[in-house]
Amino acid sequence: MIAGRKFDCPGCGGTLEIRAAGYTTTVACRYCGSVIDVASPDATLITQYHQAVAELAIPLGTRGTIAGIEWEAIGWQSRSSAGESWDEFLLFNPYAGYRWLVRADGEWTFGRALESLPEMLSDDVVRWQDAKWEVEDDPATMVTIRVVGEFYWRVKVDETVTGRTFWSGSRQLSCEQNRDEVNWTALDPIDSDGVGKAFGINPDGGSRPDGGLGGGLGSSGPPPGKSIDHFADTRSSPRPFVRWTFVAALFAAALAFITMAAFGGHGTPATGSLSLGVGGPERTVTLGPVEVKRAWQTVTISAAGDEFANKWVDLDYALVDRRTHQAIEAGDTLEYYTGTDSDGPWTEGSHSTSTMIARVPRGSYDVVMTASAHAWSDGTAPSPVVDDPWSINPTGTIALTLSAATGGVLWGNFMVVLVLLFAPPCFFAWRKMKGA
Amino acid sequence: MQGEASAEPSGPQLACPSCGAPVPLVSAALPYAVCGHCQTLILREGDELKAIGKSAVLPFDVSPIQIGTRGTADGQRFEVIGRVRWGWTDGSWNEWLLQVGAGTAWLGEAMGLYVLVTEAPELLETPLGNQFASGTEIPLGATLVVSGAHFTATDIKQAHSLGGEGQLPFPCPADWTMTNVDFRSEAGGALSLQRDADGVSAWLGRYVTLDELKPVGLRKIVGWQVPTALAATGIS
Repeated sequence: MIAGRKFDCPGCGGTLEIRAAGYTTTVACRYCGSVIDVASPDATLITQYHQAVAELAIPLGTRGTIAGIEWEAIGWQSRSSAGESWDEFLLFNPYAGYRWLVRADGEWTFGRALESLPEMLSDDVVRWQDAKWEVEDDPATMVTIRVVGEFYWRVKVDETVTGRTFWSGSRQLSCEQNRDEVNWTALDPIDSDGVGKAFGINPDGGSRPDGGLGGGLGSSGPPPGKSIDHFADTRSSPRPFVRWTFVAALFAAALAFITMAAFGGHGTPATGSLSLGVGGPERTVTLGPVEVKRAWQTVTISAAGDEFANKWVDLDYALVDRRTHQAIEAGDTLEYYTGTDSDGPWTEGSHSTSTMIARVPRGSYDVVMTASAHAWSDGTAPSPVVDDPWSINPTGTIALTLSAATGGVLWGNFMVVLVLLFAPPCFFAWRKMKGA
Repeated sequence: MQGEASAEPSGPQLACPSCGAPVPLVSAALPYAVCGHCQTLILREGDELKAIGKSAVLPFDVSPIQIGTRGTADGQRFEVIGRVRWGWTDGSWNEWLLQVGAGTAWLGEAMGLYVLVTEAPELLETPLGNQFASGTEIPLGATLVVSGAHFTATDIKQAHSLGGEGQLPFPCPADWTMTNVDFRSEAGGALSLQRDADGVSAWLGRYVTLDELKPVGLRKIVGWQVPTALAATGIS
């Protein structure tokens, strides 16, 4: 059973994943910030927002181990009170439930919801777990400023609660109350280096900037600021200049090809197979491991079906890093149609397809593939389509052969490189010819 | 599907009257079962099995518990034999039926927290119990004293059944609705009052952690390791 469930944000169409299916009731889209109700089977929009993607100290989906238990950051909210704001990260583990990581004034605390109610000894003092806890301040109003990710309650921007904090030494009990409920949370200090190490982040800053190489395309083109001067120079440039630009473009193209092929570098494929019932439930198979041995590499996932016609297979891929459990997702469709119309017989599609995932970071990956097969009817044949006389495989199963391996050159990207590289010399050559 | 292999049920099985798939029979005392294959709701009267309806297919969730999970509570072995899932406007929760010795108990699961309760009909004889039975709503913060412990109402919900699985003491039709009031005590005690069209029931117990139940046969969830505290007792 995979813990996630995918859906499209009704606000911006971005694909979102629910990591705590069955518990999560609200998702705040990480692309546009819209707040979505997922308690019912259909994702419905509660409040639509259009805001920039927030840069978080712990990117959602990151996992870290605290006190022997692995936690995944699934939600974040920024709240404020009396001009001060702080971050709250919601952590989840399906076997251990929920925890909080709170960052206020650069200090981190690790929190969990209380199961037993503290006993009120007076207005200012409570007893819980044999300790006395004293209130710090008068009750304060706390406002939720921003939310991203998923939550087991109805999060709302601008939601206010009244909160009080009780202290016992360096430990805190936070009591938050709104119209409907009272929630107690115990918060223990946690060393910020520990948080940083656990989640592989810089605990004092925003998210770690994207590591790795700058775009391979950008580095082979001219720096943007230079192109105009360069262009001006060539108006009166002698003929060898044009030839030189061609040579340079050719050289750069060769370099680009070698670089891309090197990043491609074929590895041993992981293979598997699936038998799919047409119109039946989706099925999942895991291939692996796929070892990415370089800093960044392309991974190619291929699917081929046996003889079938007028059917399609929806393919969802998740490349899951075995160490971090981070997934890179992709999708593909395997489809083949055939028929006869006034122009005679026709076919469309193919019995095999492949998808390349670029820039996969170094690591050991499992490829989780989910597939479902569907029958197509052109509307003229009575359904079901199994009566279709053209159908080569009317019995309704498709045998899929699947493979995943590092390697593969992104030809589309290479073509873009070629066009960009050869456009200037061609343009200069054209100007020369026209001038002559 | 990978990772979904459930703990193998032991003991006798019945054949579903609708599709013929085996339906495990753990407790002879429970009259209802939901076929895991076709969701047919089965009524058992003596040796006779009757299909009396369909239960809804349970929505996907990532609960670590599954039918067949075993463990220990208060020194007694238990096995999970059934489940009802309840929904309300802002979410849902699970109630797992445990076979404990010759009797049963329920393990409630909401937001990663667990409560273990058994039926406590004597609570309905209290003034608050009477008030609830007569249809009067209980306000948040209402208290009930049981053996000297103060229980405070912290959660009141109108719930509807989202479906069931396994063996159950009642049918769980799709249009089944109820009012559920949860109380908590300072010592981690849990108390629930439930009211549906047929009457009221009261449940008493406490909050428990998954590891103190020493569970065996937890559901495997792809991408997650069972934490060491739980793995120590094994995952089947």
